[in-house]
Order: sequence, then C-alpha cells, then structure tokens
Amino acid sequence: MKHETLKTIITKHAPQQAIRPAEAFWSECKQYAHEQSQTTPLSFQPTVPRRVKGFYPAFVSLTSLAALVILYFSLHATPEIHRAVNSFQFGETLAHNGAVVLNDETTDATILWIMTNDTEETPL
Amino acid sequence: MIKRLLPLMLMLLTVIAAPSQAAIEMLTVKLVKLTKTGRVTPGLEEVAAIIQRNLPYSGCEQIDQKACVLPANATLTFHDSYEMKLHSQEAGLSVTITQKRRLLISTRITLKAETPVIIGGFFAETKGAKHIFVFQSSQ
Repeated sequence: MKHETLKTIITKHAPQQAIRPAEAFWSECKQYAHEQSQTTPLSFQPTVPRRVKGFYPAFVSLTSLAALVILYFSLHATPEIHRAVNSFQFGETLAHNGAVVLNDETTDATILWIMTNDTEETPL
Repeated sequence: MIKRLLPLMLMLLTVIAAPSQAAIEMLTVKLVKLTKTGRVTPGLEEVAAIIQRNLPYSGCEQIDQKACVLPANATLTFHDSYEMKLHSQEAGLSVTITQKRRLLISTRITLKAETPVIIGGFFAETKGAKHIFVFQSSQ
C-alpha cells in the first residue's frame, strides 16, 4: 500500500474536529496564566540544619583536648621492657640453687646471678 | 672514557658493599673473676662499675676472652674448663655453659648493642671469688 493511499484512508476515517480559533486559544492561555503566575518563583526553602549555638568553639575545644590526651599518652607510654634474659635452666651441678635477674639502671645491663650455697652475698 | 668511569664505578661498588660490611656484628664473651678486694683489669672498668653497683664485689679480673660472629653457631672454650655453646635463634641467643662437661646453666639471652649481659656466680677456685661471663655485642 502506498503512502498516499494510506494518508487518504486515514484522513477519510478520522473524526471530524472543529478547529479552534487562535484568539480563543490564546485568551484561554492568558486566563490560566493569570491564575498561576509563572514569573513568580515558588516559595521553596531548603531545610538547612540549624547549628547549635557555640558548636564551633565546643568542637575546637574537644578536638584540642583529644589531641592533648593523645600526645600525653604517646609521650608517657610505658616503654617496652627489654628482657635480656628470657629463661634459664640449671644443670645438675647447680640444681638446688636459685638465681636472680638484676637490671643495672645506669647502663641497662642485665645480670643473671646464681645464688650458690656458699653465697653469703646478696644483691645490693 | 673508561678511565673517567672507573672512579665512579669504584664508588658505586663501595656504596653497595658498605651495608654488607656494616652488618657484621661481633659477640665478645669475657670470663671474669670477681673478688671482694682485688684489682680491676684495665678495660673492665664499666663491668666493674656495674658489679659494684649491684653486688658486693669490687675486684674484677679478666681470665679469658673469646669472640665470634653474630648470628652465632659456635662453641667457645675458656680457661678453667668452661665450655660455652652459642646458637642464635629467632627468640635470642641460646647459651649453654658447661664446666668439665657438666652442665651449669642453659639460658636464652637477647643482646643489645654495647649493653652487657652478665651471667655468673659460678664457683671460682679462690675462696670468696666468683666467675662471671660478660656478653657484649658490637659492630
């Protein structure tokens, strides 16, 4: 079927509509435009969260306090204990003796001192 | 051209070789006799000071000294029939001290550079004297 034939058939069977005059159309438009003004912006206000009064000073104070606490504990943290002597085991010769581990504070040297039976000396 | 590059190549070789040379760590072990009133062997002043601060001994006489490379896997023999087996492990330096093939003590120590670790209190021939071993690592 040709295009021209289709056009003829559709036009023939299409419902008849009265063409409105242009003046009537535009007057109707103006009427609606008067009812709802398009020039005036809508009264839209975004909801901005309200800041609590004194928020920023409190925030700065708390942040500073936290920084000071972290600094204090990082400076005064207990250093890892250096254990120079980890474990010891006596042989049969010294089986009934004890031992003491001394730490020299001046040099950080460690002494594993065996307390023998004839030991009259005790660590200072 | 080669003559110009030679010093540069030598410098590069030195820079590459330097870390491997610096990584060599030595362990020195000294057998020392402590006495109530005795002399201090020159070079043992620091050890003597440590002993005097912590134990009632003033004399500090060096009997013997041995050294080995760290990490160690060595057996050192000392005067007075002491024998020491050293074996470096991940957890530290394993030390086994025997005298006349009898086990005295077996322990594991961790060394810090230039900080001595002293193991002692062993019988010495002289009355009132004691033997100690002083371990010190150095690079």
